[in-house]
Amino acid sequence: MLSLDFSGTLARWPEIAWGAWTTLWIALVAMVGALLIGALAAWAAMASRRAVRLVPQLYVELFRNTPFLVQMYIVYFGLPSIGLRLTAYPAALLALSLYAGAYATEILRAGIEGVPPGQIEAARALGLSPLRTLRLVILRQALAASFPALASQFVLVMLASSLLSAISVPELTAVANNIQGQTFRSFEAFLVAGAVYLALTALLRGALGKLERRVCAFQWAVR
Amino acid sequence: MGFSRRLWLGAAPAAAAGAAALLRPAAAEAQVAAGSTIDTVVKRGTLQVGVSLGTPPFGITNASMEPDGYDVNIAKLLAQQLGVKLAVVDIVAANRIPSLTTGKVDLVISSFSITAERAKAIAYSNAVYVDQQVAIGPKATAMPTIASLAGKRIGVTRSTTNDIALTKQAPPGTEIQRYDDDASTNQALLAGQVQGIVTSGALAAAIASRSPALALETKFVVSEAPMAAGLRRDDLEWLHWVNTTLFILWTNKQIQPLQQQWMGVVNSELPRFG
Amino acid sequence: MFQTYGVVQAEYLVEAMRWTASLAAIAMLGGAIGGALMVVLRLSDAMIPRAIGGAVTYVAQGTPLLVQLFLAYFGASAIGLDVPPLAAAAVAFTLWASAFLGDIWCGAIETVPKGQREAGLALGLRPRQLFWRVVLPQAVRPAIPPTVGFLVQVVKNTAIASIIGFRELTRAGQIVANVTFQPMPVFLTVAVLYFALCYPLSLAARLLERRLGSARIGPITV
Repeated sequence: MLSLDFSGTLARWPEIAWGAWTTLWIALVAMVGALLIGALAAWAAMASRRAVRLVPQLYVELFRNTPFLVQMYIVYFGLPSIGLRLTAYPAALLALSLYAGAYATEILRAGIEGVPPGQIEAARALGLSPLRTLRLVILRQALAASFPALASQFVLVMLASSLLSAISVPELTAVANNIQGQTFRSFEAFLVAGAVYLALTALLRGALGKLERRVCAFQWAVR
Repeated sequence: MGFSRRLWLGAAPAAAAGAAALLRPAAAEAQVAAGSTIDTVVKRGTLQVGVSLGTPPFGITNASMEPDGYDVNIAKLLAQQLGVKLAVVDIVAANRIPSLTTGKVDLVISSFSITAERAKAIAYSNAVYVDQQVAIGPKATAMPTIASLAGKRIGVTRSTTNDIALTKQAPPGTEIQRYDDDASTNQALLAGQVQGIVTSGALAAAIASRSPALALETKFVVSEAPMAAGLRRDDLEWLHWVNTTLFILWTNKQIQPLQQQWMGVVNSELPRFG
Repeated sequence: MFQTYGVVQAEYLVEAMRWTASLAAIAMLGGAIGGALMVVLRLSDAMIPRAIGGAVTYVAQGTPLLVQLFLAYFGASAIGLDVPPLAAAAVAFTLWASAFLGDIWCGAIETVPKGQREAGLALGLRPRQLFWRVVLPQAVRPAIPPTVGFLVQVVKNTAIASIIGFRELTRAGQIVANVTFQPMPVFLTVAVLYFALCYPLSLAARLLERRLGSARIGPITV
């Protein structure tokens, strides 16, 4: 009934490896972008003036309630028609950063608001300047609190990058798609791609776990 | 009610209630159909043809949001000759062969180039149109030969004859951008995301006429390929009927006006081999 | 052959929304049934059901939904099954939703304080009674907000089915953009339509979270 033939797919392992690498570095760069955007937006979201708070709110709602695929099409196919042409990689990174940034904003905001006010008061009472308070008390604890959610977000960003195949970015899914189009062995190609994604996910989670232990070491000590 | 609405109103209850039917192996179905697709179609009263509706001018959705285009109209002629209704099934290029082998459609007419590789999996009818794979781009961009593609971004639809031809012949240094379907490839060209695309000659003429602002022109021919209807491999009676009917339609000059209308060019002869 | 973007095209987009809604409904209903099954598997005392449940969840959460969709679509053809895009999408989305909902619901069950279980056992309740009469009723409330939140994910992810040709809203947008050559207004309309579907659900999820308790349950469903 089912006859699988992996030879054609596996013979092209260099392409597959290259696709996996592309997936990884795109996810990394997009996540960095997302954190930058998220930090900025989270900071703006806690401003005292309502007008300022509205901007990040709008951004978050728009980008979390529309599909990433559509956002991607708008950036890659739509923007050129109004004068802003980004080629595949910049468009991909921009779209992915904006999308992930909306989630990062909420995660960071929750992390910052989760720092007990008593800590901030105590820091001030001890004579720490606002900047040092921010750096040593607020941000460290906010980061520790946000880390698990941000780590999940990272994995999700890497999985979402598979949609970039639709705008010709040669990441892992695109490679698998190209292979199956020429070998006619679609099931095999995507099984291999799926296995590689699982490996990448495991790798990422492992690396992030190690990172968490280093960044949030003091948290463990307190517990 | 347009084709689309009839199609979806039919598809929804069929999908909902057809769980058991879906699980019946299509191999058995194909065996029953082999040698008697003509009878099956006549009894059913409908000819099911797979066409990609995102591939102008072969398959499009017209102003009334109904299937239209060269391939759709050829299918209409065939259905007429058989005395049945036509049901157009929108498929993507990658699914042309699977939709035949699983019995989802009786025929595929979807800018289907004849290749030896594909002929192992399905049977081709005689040619329906002889097409060329051409490179097109804006007048301002100089692309006289295939060698000039080096250093340029060229778009193509993944896994099509255009893709295979371009991949084989493009000089090193050509940035080949592959998209999932013709719709995206065309959009990429119009958005300026690529400096040229390789596509079928007929499509090139159609896009160029629609966007005068870009001043698109055909640069050079990459390769030539006759296109045909695809059928299941073991269905010889059906293949024979389709070939005979195509011959009749061509001799009665019913195909030529369609070519003129949709492609702007009429083949001098449709190669016959079966 | 080529048109300008106008009311007719916009209507075509709105009509395609019914297919988005249909796929989302199938995924949610199928996912609910599958999710319940996943909970049973993962909370089982026996090793094999737990391993199966764990493996399915691991794969569903560790591979892109697009790849799962391609596997359902092409895989069915590989074993000779006749599968239209809607069916393939329904199968893939149901499996995916089952894994995630199972995860969310297991998380909800875990938030029920251990003390409740111990008290139940001390009072002489059998494990089955313990589950149905003590644990499950208390797990329902915290399960609702993330489940509604996941529904938003489901609706958004139906867009991915456009890649295998399923004619829902995003594919309709591609078709219209291709005949009008005006991608910006077309895709902006598509985005607005998705927003109209998802924003009320997001608001509802947040409201429910405030009312029914905000324990962070399951993976961050984004």
